[in-house]
Amino acid sequence: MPILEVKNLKKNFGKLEVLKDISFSLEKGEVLAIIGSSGSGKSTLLRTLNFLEKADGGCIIVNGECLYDCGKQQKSDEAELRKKRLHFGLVFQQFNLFPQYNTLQNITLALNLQSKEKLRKAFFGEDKRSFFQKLGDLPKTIAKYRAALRAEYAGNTDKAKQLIERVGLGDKTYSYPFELSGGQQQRVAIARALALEPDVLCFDEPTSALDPELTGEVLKVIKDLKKYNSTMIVVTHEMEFARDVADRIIFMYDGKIEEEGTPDEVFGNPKSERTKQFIAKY
Amino acid sequence: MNFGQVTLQLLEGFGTTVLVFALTLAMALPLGLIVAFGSMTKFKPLRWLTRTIVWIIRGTPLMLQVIVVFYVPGLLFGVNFTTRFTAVIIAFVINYACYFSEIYRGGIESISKGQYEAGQVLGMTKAQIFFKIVLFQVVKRIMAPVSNEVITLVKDTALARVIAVEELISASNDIMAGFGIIYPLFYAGVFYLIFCGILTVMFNFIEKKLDYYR
Ligand SMILES: Nc1ncnc2c1ncn2[C@@H]1O[C@H](COP(=O)(O)OP(=O)(O)OP(=O)(O)O)[C@@H](O)[C@H]1O
Ligand SMILES: [Mg+2]
Repeated sequence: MPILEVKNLKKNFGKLEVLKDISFSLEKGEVLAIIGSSGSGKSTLLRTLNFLEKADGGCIIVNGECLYDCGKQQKSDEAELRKKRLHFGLVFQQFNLFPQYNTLQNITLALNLQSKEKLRKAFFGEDKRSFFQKLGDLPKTIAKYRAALRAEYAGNTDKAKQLIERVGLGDKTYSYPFELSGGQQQRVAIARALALEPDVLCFDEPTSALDPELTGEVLKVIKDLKKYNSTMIVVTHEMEFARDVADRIIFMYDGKIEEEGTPDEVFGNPKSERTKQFIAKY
Repeated sequence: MNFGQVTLQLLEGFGTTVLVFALTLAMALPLGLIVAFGSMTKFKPLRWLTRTIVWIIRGTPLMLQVIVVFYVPGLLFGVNFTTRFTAVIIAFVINYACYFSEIYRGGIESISKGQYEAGQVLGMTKAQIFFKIVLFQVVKRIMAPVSNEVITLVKDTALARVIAVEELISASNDIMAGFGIIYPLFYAGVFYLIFCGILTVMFNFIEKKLDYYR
């Protein structure tokens, strides 16, 4: 079963059809590179998958679970939406790190909030005892809750530190974003996205905002993720990289998938005239 | 009247001044946030209502508002709902909440969309995004305009005397009128100066604390 199936996905901005009938699927551990010229809808596709934009048609299926199906009535409840979003991760072109938090805090913030939510529910939620029983136990419950929370936080910190090592920033654990280069910031952003263990990690031109000499370090990190069997969708203008790392390439043109295939097929022997023209430019 | 007596009398007025200042801040700072949300809501009628109120409050003198709050209920209903002091507090809180709301709105709107989206893709709730990501950045950005407003408030408290609330200026005025000496007025000025000086030092301290990141 594919980890991600996208069927006939559509997205309009007013009258402008930005995604017209996008269908593709992705196996676990596969890396998909999306290329295409400016305005072809690459960012919109990633944003729609991450539920930053609401699709106007088609469906999105992750691990066999239908997250979005235009045919069915959709619950637009915030909690549901958040759960759906967690199947995906997104690394932005502009990093979007939180400037007031250091590297470690940027990564643990969402994890800690999740831990808190989970433990609150476990300790104070679905408690069927009488009010007075609960009240009598309250100090004990709070103490237990606090201890559990501390343990969870410590676990999150360990996990974050491992990820920081993995992206090669061990010496920047306590640095603030303004103290980091663009390449380092983007690596923090990647670690932050990885921390939530998304099924599919999306990158929207992760190196476009970087000086050329900094793109290498970020691309290397993304390439390394393949070893950990991460499933990834990378929108990129780095053809070398796409060719080297991707298992499959999609070339988008005007909101449609113009061509899809292995790197050798798409770069070596493109079927579509438009693909040929596009690749010739690089 | 000797210097000690003048000082004591001025201190009494100064007490009222500080009380007006503190109560106004304590209520207007949070209320301003609510007004700011009102002026940014997607629900249009509420947004326009809020913005109209803010426009009226910012577009008319605070002195007039103090008078309106104190006298108009009496004129309309024949009863005074409020004491003089309460009327001053109500007018000041509403006025300053509106000013603060505009500062907050500017600060909130200056935070890039990317910060919200980063929070969203990390599965955070709207409230978590606001309180854990946005609010702190807003606080840093609005510190300078807020400190300006707060310093202005110190001196605006003198307006309380239009409905005969005995604050610092009216205390010094009384001495001047009663004893024919003029220096208490300048002496009152020194009180304001010192008060504002302390606030300035405090704000500088806070701004420095917030300066650990850019
Ligand atoms: N929020 C929006 N409102 C209206 N139109 C939008 C919006 N976002 C994107 N578009 C339009 O959708 C089209 C596709 O935009 P998109 O950002 O997905 O392109 P892209 O392939 O990522 O381009 P680039 O390589 O420049 O990043 C463009 O014509 C763009 O103007
Ligand atoms: Mg784009």
